[in-house]
Amino acid sequence: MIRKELVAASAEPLILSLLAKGESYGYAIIQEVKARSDGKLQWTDGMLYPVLHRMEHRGLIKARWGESETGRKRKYYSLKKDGKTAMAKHHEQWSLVHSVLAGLQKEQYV
Amino acid sequence: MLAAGIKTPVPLEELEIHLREEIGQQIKSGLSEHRAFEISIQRMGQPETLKTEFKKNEGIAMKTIGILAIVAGAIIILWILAEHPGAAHVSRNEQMEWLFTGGAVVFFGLCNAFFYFEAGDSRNVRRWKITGTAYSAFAIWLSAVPMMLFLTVPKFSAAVGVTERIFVFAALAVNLLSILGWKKCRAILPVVRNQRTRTMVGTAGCFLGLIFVALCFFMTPLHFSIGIILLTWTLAMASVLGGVGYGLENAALKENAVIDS
Repeated sequence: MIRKELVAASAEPLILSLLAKGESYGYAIIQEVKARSDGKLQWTDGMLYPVLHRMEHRGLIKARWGESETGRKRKYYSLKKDGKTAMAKHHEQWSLVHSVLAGLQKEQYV
Repeated sequence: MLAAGIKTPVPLEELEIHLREEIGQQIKSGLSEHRAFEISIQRMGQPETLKTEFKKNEGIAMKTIGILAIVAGAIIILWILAEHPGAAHVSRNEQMEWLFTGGAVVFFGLCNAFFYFEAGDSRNVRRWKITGTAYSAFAIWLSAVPMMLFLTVPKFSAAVGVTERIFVFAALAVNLLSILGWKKCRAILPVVRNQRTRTMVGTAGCFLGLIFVALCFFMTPLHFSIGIILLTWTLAMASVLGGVGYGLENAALKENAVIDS
């Protein structure tokens, strides 16, 4: 299981990247993250919502109430312009961390 | 969630929808209704933790309201002060009323902006932060009136020389920096472990500040320029004394954080 600090730090870039593919809702976001990480990246379900609301307050994403295929009420989130910029920054920073780590790991095996 | 204190309709509704989806999914996978409910509730997380997280969002909203109120209050004050010298249509009483209204709005804004600023901090630090900020806001507000008098009214302006002006502005700077100072000084402040002692020292600082201001008001200044220096520096001292409690709580909190980690 991934450490909770890393889970918390990766929440925003993951949400932004998922929403960049199209609008989505809380439950689906959690399920997709779980599936993409083979269940290794698990959020406490309820904790996603304060994060989403915070991102909405900061103008990164926007929300609208809609309905599911079965007529159930749902709150859909989508990316805003500032969210796209924030996502690009996150990608840049995470890539940098990844490349430094990968480089160091490579050196260990030389 | 209601029991945990999450009462705002939007998060509650959203959490409820999520819970229903999760329960539905669990039932589909073959679990009994009762078991599905238990697992889904568990996955939602601790209600208290959730409440704290949602509170942080309230803090952001209140901070925005606070900043808007500060801007609105400042506009009212600046407008009435700019009108001051030649505003024949606004009576002196009306001017004072508007100034107090502006001051009240700024104070409300400062309370919101600072009170919720660090929602994760201990309650005592926040309580003392608001007290210190209130002292500073009050002192800045009271200093602004005589300052604007000598800046805008020629009769008073002539009575205040360069040295006096430097003293007055220095007092205002001390005033403005006092809260920041107490925050930054926590590393060099003594760590008072006893909560009651901290509260007593903080409260004594507040009272001392008020006594200073009251004494200054009762003393009749011999000259306008001496009076204004005395008043602004007394207010600056009150502002600094009002922040003692905040500084001590901050220092104690830092010590606790080191121990906890």
